[in-house]
Amino acid sequence: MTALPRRIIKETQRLMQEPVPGISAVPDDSNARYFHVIVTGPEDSPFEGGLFKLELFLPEDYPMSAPKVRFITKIYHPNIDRLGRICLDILKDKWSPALQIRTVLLSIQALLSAPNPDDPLANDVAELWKVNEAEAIRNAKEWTRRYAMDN
Amino acid sequence: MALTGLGRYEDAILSFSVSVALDHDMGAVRHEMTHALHRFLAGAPAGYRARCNSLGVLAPYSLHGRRPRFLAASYPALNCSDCEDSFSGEEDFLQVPQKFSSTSLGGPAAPVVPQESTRLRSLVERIFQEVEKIKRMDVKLEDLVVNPDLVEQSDFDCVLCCRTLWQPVTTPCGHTYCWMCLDRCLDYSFACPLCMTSLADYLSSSQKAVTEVIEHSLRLLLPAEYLARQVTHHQELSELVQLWGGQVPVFVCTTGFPGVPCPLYVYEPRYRVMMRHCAEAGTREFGIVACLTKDPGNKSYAEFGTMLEIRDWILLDSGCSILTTVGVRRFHVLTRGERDGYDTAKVEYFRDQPIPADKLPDLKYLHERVRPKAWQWFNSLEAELQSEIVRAFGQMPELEEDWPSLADGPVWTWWLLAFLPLSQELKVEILATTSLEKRLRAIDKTLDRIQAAAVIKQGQDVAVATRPEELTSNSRHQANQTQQTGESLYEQERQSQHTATSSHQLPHPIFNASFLGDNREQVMESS
Repeated sequence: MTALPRRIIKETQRLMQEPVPGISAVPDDSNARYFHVIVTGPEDSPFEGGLFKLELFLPEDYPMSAPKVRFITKIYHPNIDRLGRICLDILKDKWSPALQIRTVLLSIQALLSAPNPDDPLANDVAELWKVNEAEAIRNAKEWTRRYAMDN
Repeated sequence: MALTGLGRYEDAILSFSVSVALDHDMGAVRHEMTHALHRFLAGAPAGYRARCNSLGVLAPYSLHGRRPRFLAASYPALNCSDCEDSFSGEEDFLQVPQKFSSTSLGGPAAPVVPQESTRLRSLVERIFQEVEKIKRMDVKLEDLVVNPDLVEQSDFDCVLCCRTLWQPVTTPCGHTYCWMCLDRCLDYSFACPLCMTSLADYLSSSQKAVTEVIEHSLRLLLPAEYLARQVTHHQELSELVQLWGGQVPVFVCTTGFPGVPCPLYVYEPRYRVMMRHCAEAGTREFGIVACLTKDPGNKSYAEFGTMLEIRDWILLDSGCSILTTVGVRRFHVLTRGERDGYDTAKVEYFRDQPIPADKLPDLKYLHERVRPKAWQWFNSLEAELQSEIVRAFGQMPELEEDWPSLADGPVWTWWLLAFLPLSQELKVEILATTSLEKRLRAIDKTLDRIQAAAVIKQGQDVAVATRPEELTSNSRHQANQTQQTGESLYEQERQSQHTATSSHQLPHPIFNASFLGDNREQVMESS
């Protein structure tokens, strides 16, 4: 393995020194490319009050390719499937090397505030979100209470 | 030039004038300035242009007498001899003094064109003002020092690598990156990383150059950082070489053979980086190994491969490249690694076992038998197919005088193996053997099987044949068969140059091994 690129070191330092409100990202002790992430559910969203755990991995060719991010905490969201995989354009074809860990996590937080059932990853959730939004939001709140508030 | 591009010709002319005044070198901007002037003047409404032309006739003074004076006045730093040159846009130049002079001097036509002349006059005014400013500044230029407290080191950081810019390049959309960082991004996408503007045209116009202003400022304002970055850059280069002292970059594609050319088309981002690293490190060598699984998620490559030496490298506008390489020596993969997305490996080089003196006569006898057989088979192929082979791998190599003592034996064996219809696994196995005798026997058997398969095939054809054209000779039939395969693959490969979906090997005939029958794995003798 080659030495950790300056870019990753700088990003990590900045994440530690000037953390983004509502987001914490800590590199793993044994692997500086693996981050333990906690995102707080945004205010006025069904996820408010929840603490969502994610894992983030920077591949060997980062920043040329996007970080790999996954929700560990179960979440009821049309763009996040039961394995925690996230449907977000900047993690796929809209990735740019000028984006950073920080901007990726902010985008994920924004996705919690603005679910997009028209581009679903979890089909059943998206369907309910479109047909009966009130019930979907109730479910999301229930899941948040059950899975994202205990720890 | 960027201003010209944006259509802001007045500003462009102003900038050009200022740069001429500063640099005293008209050469660099002359063409662009002519162009901008053209555009600026051409931008005037047609009616106005017509009036200007008629004004030319009415003008009560000699144009030629005034022209140099006018230009000399508006561009004080401009060498007068330049004005005498015949520009392609002479006509427009002639109009400048006309419009300007006739109004400012209160000539007879003054009331006709008040609006446009105001624009022109204000432009000339601005040029005068700017040049005056420079003149005043000139005296104090030495005292012009930037307050170091105002210089932020991070202002000169590359947004991609988070380090001080090294060989800064500015895109037409105005974003600056390290040269190498931008190159790497362009391997993946033509979009500017910051604003997503397409840089495809920029890339194909080959206008990329270090932004001197930034480079200069860096040296001047942050000399320590500049030096440190330079040291890092050179360290990285030497690390690249050091890393490859124990590890080689590995191109996972096909089996290469010692002494045999291996043409490659490089389009995948990771291999583009790899090739640049090869060039930067000055090694010009990399390993090639066969890809044994098609599954991208679970990639595995052969344990044995060949080092290739880059003989020629054509970089295409698209960022892809065509490589002319030749195999130099064989290696065995000991450990596998990764760097910037491409594979690397710690390898051990190996050669054929020396041939004991008592075995030499037998080996020579075997060799004398197999080489003509191979030659005969090659000659039995369709002429078109032969020329395809020659184009990709060259003519059949001459026999070396000292062939029994060579590290990889006679090159012709590898040349033949490069296009013999054998599975990739089998080719790797033959590459791995350190016994020339085994290799010759494998070739011998393969040629026998091809002949036998062709005979059987012909027999079947005779049994079912109704059309006379199917009754061709053994070799001819087999050649037809292989050629068809070769051609269809060739077509596919050609398309892959555009779609970048298929393998990396340049078009060359690839044979279908199916006619070898089920026992083809036994071509290699187990003992």
